[in-house]
Amino acid sequence: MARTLGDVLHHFAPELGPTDPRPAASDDAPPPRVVAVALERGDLLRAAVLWNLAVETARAGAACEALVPVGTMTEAPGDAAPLGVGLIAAAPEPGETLADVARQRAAAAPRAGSEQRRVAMVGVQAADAGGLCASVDLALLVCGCDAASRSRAESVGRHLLRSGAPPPGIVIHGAHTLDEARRAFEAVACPLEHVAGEAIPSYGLLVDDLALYRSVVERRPVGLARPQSPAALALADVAALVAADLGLA
Amino acid sequence: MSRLRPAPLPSPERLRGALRPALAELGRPLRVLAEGVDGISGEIDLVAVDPGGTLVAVLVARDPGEALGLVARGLAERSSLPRRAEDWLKVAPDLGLRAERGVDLLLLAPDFGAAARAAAAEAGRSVQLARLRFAAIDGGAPEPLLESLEAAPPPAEVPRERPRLSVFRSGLGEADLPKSRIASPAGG
Repeated sequence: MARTLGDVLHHFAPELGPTDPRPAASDDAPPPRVVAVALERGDLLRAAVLWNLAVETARAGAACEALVPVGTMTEAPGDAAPLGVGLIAAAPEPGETLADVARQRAAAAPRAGSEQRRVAMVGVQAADAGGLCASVDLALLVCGCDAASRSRAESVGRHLLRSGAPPPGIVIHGAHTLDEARRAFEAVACPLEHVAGEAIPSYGLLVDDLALYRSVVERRPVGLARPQSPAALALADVAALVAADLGLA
Repeated sequence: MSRLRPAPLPSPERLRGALRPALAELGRPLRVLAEGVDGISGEIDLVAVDPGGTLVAVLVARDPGEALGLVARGLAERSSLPRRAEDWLKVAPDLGLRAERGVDLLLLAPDFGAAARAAAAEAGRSVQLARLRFAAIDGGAPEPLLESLEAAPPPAEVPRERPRLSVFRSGLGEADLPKSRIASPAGG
């Protein structure tokens, strides 16, 4: 069942152009936190991770949005947005980045209360990630356990570091044991640590890629559809690590 | 299929002009501020700024045998640039420079040997190496071809021992993982 992001992105949420109207922010709450996930064109798995993480963050109490660049969709968008979290295809204006758009949207988004934190999860094309991730609060590399995926993640990580981004966090997916995940993490973190001169943060592991895919097809995030499944527990763990490091917990 | 015909490197002036648009091939948009800037050990071929405001000094070696010396020369030039960047900002505050971000080096040479690459790796994340070749494509005018060396370093040059600082974290236990082995459908 080969699917691309373009096949199913319309299930999530509306596509928004650069002129999407939003109410202006009216409070002096802390600025929104922006988390970037590096993805490839048509990268359904990482888009699903992005969306599910955003939903988990919303479940934990934050006002959250998930954005990916326009251009990966082939069909008209839908409007599924559990807990208010859709996967929004957004187009930055010339001279601004998707992170800028996310920050503006998150700052303007209504909140449940003055204490509610605002978070934006942003998918960025790996090729463009360097400049975009320099201004985000956290950049995540979602990395498989196979050699090709590790090599690709390392390459993107080096690109990020060269571009002035903070050391990217690594989420391992497709591991069958904790030891396999640990070895995959260390294989990528070691050379990146050497380049960065500081620690590369770990953000756990995700299991059961099929459940992630299924969540997209069924338009229901894993944490809501199968809250006791291994995939949901792993997602919640990753989201908790992210929230703790961003000071959201 | 395109035909590549190797060509010698042109004069420094022409080379700098040809490099301006070609630098984007390395995946980092750079805005060139100056060419042939006097340095402490010769001329800095190009001085540029990236979108984040980091100053980037581009130095070119014309011969593979000069690559190791190029790394040393680049580090020497870099040591003097932050102070000069502050001066430039006073004169032209709209350059987009952020002096506090330091100076990155982009070093170009026909090839880099193991010693040059090891030296650059030791210098850290702010030194990028790229192979520079000149070639005519399909009979056209010769143009620079750049190939970043950081993307796929030879395994022997990157230590693969356990990271010293980075620690794997997970709140899961083995019991939380799926019981059956499910092949990952994603190659990436």
